[in-house]
Amino acid sequence: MTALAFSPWFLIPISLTLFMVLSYALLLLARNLNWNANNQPVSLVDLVNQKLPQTQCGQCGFSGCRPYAEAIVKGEAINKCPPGGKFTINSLAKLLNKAAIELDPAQGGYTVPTVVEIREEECIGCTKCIQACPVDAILGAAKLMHSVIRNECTGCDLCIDPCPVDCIDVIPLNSSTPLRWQAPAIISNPDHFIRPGNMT
Amino acid sequence: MAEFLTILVGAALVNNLVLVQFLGVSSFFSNTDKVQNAANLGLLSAGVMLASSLLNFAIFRLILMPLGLQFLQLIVFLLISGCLTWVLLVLIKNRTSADFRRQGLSMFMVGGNSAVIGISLLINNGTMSFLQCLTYGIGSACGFVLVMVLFAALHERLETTDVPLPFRGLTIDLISASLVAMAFLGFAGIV
Amino acid sequence: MKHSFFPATSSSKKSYYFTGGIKPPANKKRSLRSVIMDTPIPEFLYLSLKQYSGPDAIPVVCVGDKVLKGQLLANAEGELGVPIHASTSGTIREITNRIIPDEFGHEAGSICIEADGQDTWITRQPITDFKSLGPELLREKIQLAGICGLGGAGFPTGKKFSSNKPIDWLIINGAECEPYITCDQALIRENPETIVSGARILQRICRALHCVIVIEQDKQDAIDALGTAIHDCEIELISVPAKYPSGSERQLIQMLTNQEVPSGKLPQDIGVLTANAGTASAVHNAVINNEPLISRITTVCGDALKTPKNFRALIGTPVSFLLELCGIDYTSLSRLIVGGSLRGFTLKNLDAPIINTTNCLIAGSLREFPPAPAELACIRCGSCTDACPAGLMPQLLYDQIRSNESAKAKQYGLNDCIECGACAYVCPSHIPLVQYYRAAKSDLAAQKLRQRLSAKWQQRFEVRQTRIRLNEKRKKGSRRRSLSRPEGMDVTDTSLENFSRENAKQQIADAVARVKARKNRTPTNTQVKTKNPGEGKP
Repeated sequence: MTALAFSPWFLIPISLTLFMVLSYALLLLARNLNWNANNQPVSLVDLVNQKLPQTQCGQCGFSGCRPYAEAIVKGEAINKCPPGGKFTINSLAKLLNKAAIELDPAQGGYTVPTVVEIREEECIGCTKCIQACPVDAILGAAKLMHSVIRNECTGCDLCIDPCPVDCIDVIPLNSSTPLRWQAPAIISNPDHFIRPGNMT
Repeated sequence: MAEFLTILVGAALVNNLVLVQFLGVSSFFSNTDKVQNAANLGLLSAGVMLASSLLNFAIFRLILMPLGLQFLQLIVFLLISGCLTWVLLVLIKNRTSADFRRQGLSMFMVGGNSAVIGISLLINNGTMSFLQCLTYGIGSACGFVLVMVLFAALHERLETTDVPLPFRGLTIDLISASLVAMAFLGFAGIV
Repeated sequence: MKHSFFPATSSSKKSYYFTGGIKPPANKKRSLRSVIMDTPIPEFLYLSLKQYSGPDAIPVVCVGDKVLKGQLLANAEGELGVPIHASTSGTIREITNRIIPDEFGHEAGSICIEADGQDTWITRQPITDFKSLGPELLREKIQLAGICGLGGAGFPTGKKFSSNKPIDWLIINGAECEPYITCDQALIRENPETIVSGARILQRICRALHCVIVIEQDKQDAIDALGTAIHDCEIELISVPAKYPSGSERQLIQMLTNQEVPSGKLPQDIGVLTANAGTASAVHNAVINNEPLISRITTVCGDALKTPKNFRALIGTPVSFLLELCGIDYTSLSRLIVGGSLRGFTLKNLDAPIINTTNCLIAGSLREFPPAPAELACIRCGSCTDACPAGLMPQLLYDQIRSNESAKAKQYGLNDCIECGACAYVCPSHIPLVQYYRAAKSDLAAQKLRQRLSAKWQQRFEVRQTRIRLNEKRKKGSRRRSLSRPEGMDVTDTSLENFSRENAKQQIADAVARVKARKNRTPTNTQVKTKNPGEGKP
């Protein structure tokens, strides 16, 4: 133990800072560790499925949201969901470490949220729409009136084709005037300002 | 007491493993997208560093030196570090959350980066006592975690800012890391 | 003994401070040159059923009804609604959708009254001493009178003062920090006793321990008038430095009590309630004079007017009516702004009526409000961070929103932004920061809603899939079962008591006989039909 020629009082605050950083990092790590649990592995398909809008409409080309989630895990493009909009593409990109690309034009453009309504004078009570609805949003039985529960309707439009008397209307939920604020358009040099959303 | 503080600060800041001695740069650049991930990787690496440095120190002094087998130190240290990493990863395999496991922490990143080996080699260069080695190990590990977390936070800010097109990606990472390294050179006069 | 919580009274040198803030030119002199003018009654009044962002009121009158001034026209829906009263006597002309003065140009149901010029009141029962009524009764009275926050947000005052939390401080907000708006200052300097009376009523309702009235230091005439009015009261008058946005609720509370209202919580959670000075005056009217909220002070100012002034405007007056009373020059009018110059919005349609929260109309000329300069790149100067009163980092939030990371922006306090506009005011690159924050907040709210809906739909979908699978399994199982069941057995009678082998055999025999009989009958029927093919239907 050699003695030092100077008295290093400043080392004390420096070491304290180091230990503070260390304990902060330990706290962060502790958020991810739980010693008593024996976790079942969470499948990636479940995580991807959670990010999809669950309208079960099939506009992506798959028969529902879960089949599309399974395809995404296998490598399908993430830009096939019009009802999800930009938000779904961005969250999938973040989850899977991919680039956030524009919506595939083959699936059609971004749509406003819609619900359907049955014109009750024309309904014949055939139950074809009830069988088609993926979330049981249509109330009714055979030969009795069918009604759409508006709060449960996802706007997937799967009930419109089976209806034999074509009595289902599509109602857009947004009025013609915007309900929300729009971000200002970027009017300066576009090359300088385009951000891909991640660094690659 | 003052001596140990000097070694601690010296190992953590003045002779920082990543930014001054350029060891362990692979894991430095790999998991920097979130501060959470950087903390995970950094702390696990630091744990392995500390444990392996102490174990290697003991093996060197007690087995290799008396037998005159110092030339085998690299292979022996590699083996020990690998085993310790494997043990640690097995221990935490079932006790971590889904986010952690999806990070893909592999043995390579945690235990195979040059910082882990580097500490053991650096310790056994000179003639330090056990306590001094211990402090050196703790200090180096602290410094490693500090720099990992610091750079991840910096990277988070870099992701959202308006970086010119030619500089996006690894380029701006390297430039920022070099600037941080220059800042750390400012510690050179302390001890 | 007059107790003062704050160790210094208004005359001593205690410093009231909050971080950030800006000092824009006030532009208040022109509209303060005259006293508040009572408007003449316009021909048509349009009372909007949607007075703020709460639920629409439900009309209780029909077209053609004759109503008196102050009569109830629409009931509030739930506790968060505001009832609507007639601003003048007349006939209900129609109840249709009309434009309302909000940022989006929406339409809402409006009741149109054709004024008869008589301005007859309903029978009012004024009282002299509000102390004769209990707090709960007083609160109900102001709720029924339709009193809401006249300072800008329009939240029903009765609901705001209905929490059971212990309140230490009731703050009456007379600090009118935004440029151009002078309605509160005019009201305070002309009718200070109504404000003091309203403050005492509100203090009785919320059982606050202390009550203070806050005003900005540059409004000396209002300070003097109030000083005289509270000569024998427990209410304390505090003047704070003139800085924008000192009148914002959270900044005011931080300045006076040195405590911050925690993020996501309300002031009553830390024992403070605030009310606007105009609201206090309306409370006085409602309780003492028994008059519902049918008029408010509105500042009408701007370069395109000959004589800007403050009006005691009837709610429902069309905006164009007030502008013409001030001598507007439509050729020099370039922009009509509702609200102040920092937080206001542009109104496109001048037929829109005044609602409860319309505190100011600025008829701006092109020189006064030139078009916004182009947005340039952020130079990371940090002036916005210095100016933010909520202690946020506008530069960081701006970067995050533009990189589509609104979730991170929420983590960094986006929801604490009060949208005051101080950051955009100081930005040297003219970046419209508040527009970005509003867009991001709307996006986040919409995303949260969609996530909630998606979770619900996923659950319904999975329940349906399970049900279909179970039904299929049951069908398969039941088909097997029906094959083994003897034919003709009465399947509805599954009660075990009636079952016996002899009984079952008897039922089987009966059923078989029935089937045979049906088989024997059918050929004769067809024979009868085919005998006369040419005949028409029997």
